[in-house]
Amino acid sequence: MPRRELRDPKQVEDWLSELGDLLTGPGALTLIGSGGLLWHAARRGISIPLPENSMDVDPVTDSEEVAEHCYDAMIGSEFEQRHGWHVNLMPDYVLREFPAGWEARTATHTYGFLTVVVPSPDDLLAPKRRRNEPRDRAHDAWASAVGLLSPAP
Amino acid sequence: MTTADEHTAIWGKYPNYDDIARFEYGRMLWRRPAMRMRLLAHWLDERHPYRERFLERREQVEAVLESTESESEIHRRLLESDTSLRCVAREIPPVFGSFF
Repeated sequence: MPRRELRDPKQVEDWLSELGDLLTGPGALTLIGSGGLLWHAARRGISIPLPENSMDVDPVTDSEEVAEHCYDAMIGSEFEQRHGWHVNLMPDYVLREFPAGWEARTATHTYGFLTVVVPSPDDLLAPKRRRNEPRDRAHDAWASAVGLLSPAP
Repeated sequence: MTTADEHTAIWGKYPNYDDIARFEYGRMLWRRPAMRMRLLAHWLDERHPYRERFLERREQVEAVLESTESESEIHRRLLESDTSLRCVAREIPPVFGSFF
């Protein structure tokens, strides 16, 4: 039985590998939100689960093929029945919520034909800190506890 | 890409990202004939709760999805018809469930 909802860093990388295997040509996505935080944790070998499980990942893409696969993984899809969470495509306008210069602080990794760009953990947390709901604070505290954040200047 | 001011003029001070996503990705995928057929079949499926609403506004929604104009151009044209891009984007049905 797969884990329900999204909480383990490895779940995000597994999905990106799966998506990369599906592509027939080059495509890219930018991963934001808690999915991005989990990705950073996975890349650093961290296995501590995210508190306040997430129900979805939030990618932005300009690739038609990537978008098509994301549509197959939307809420209520067979993908969600299998994984316990879904994909929620976001418009590129949402990237303007990040602090200036965020593009220069991203991390990138390639999975097959898929190039994944992820804003830095500090940038990912900026919109969450503005919203400042209990769940956002829990994710901020988790990111700090597992060592994802830059030292305070 | 629209400027921040143009974007605010179209989508308002408090944009609904789900509406904008259905417009942006709907337009992107409308260019793929097979995907366009899937979207139409999904929205016209008896199980889709927005089916009737889509049928009432199908012409306008399809015109926006197949347009090659910029967001600002579409918005200006829709304003002349007493509506707006924000309003029409809200009428693009969502994709969900296991029957897509």
